[in-house]
Amino acid sequence: MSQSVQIKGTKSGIILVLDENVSFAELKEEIADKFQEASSFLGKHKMGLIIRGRMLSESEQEEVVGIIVNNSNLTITCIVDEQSTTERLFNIEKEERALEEKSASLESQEEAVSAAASALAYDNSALIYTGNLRSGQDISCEQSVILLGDVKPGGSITSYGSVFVLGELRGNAFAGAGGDREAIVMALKLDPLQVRIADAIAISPDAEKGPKIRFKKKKLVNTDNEPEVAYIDNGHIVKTSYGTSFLRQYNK
Amino acid sequence: MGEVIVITSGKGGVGKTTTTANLGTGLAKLNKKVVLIDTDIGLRNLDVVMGLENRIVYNLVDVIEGNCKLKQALIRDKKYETLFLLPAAQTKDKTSVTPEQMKKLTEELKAEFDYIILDCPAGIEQGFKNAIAGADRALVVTTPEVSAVRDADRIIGLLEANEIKKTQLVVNRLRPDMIKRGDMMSADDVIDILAVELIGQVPDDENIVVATNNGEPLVGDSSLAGQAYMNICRRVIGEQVPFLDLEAKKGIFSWFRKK
Repeated sequence: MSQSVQIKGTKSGIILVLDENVSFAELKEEIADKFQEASSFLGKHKMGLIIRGRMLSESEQEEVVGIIVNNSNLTITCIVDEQSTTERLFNIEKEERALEEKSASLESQEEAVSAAASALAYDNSALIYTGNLRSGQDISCEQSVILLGDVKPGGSITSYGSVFVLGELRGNAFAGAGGDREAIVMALKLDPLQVRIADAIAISPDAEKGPKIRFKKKKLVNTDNEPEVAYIDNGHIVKTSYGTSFLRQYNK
Repeated sequence: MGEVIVITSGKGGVGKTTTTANLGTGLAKLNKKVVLIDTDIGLRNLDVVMGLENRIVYNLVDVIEGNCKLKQALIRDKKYETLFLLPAAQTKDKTSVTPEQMKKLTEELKAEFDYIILDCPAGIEQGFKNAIAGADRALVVTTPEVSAVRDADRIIGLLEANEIKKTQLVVNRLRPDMIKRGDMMSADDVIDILAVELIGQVPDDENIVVATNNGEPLVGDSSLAGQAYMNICRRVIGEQVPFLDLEAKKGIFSWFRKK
């Protein structure tokens, strides 16, 4: 893959690093490709744009914004010119605070982003935690999480990677918090209030009629003691038993 | 312009959260636009009583800190279109919010809702101060026990000191049989001690426990407690409703007797 175009993200905007030695036409194609690839990860946000590495004329800047908007769900609110620190607004409401923050702490944010990016790159490490997570307690980290215990209702785990609960998961779990749609949530008993993976969210069905029914359901589930797993299939979170058929599909 | 009502008690376990849930649901039943705010940060349970626990994504602290828009954090009720819940955070504590911030929040909500009902935590510390900051009216919940009445008295004093214009009393968990025997204070006895306006008397009712466990407030159903809560709602919106005769025994014979 050529490196003539690089995209970096910060909390309030994206930085586009362009190669000076490539023709503008080539760059445009490259930008289109890059944003198409990343559109699902970048999601639907309003952002500022910072262009580095190459000076662009006004009309060129506008072309670049057009390409980004057409190839992703992003809305570009402004272009930040780092030399003169003036911002050019694009008729959408300006988020003053975000901008101020951006010019003030650009450096520190970049550091944070590169740290997050390295975590995203799946270094296959995991945090192992022993004990129960009760209501109000939470684990949130960049690695995957392995929990030797239960997550009670009100407890929650947030991870950039996957979540494995060797116990009952009855609270909340958020896997792939950085946008990784391959992340999974696995538990010996998966009966959560909420499971989120990347940008998808699933909530537990409402108890229809009282504690008696709920109790019965519980017993039914208990009859087959298989671990369960939740993952994204076609943009929706699905739950299935963690067995050979799931693994075959997952390892593909 | 909406009205901000805080449900408070001082003592724990007297039924603040149950009253909040039933009052909110009842007002929604009367076609009012209502938002319930759980201010018990760190020990939230209004969401559980309302049966909306599984829908929480953002909470009060997220709204205050600006992590999300207010609209995003409001959870619509399962049954009533005009009823919303703003849940408390579970992983923070009461100091994450200041009275000024709460006041600003309730002011914002007033524009859009008829009633903003705040579920206050037990105690008189920061959580209590947050909850009463923006309140126009307070409903003090008490049970007919000396300990609860003592705390209610203290709370009423604090509410007066904070210039809450209107303070009304809900006497919860009354048992007519015990009152008859003279083993329990009646609502009138409690009023004599506290000297505030009575807005409701709710009998001790098994159905409350069932409804709480089901996550469905019982206000407005045929049970005595359900009727009592509905009457409170009517009085809140300004109707004149006579107090329930708690002695009325339910059952087929009493039904005949009434006819």
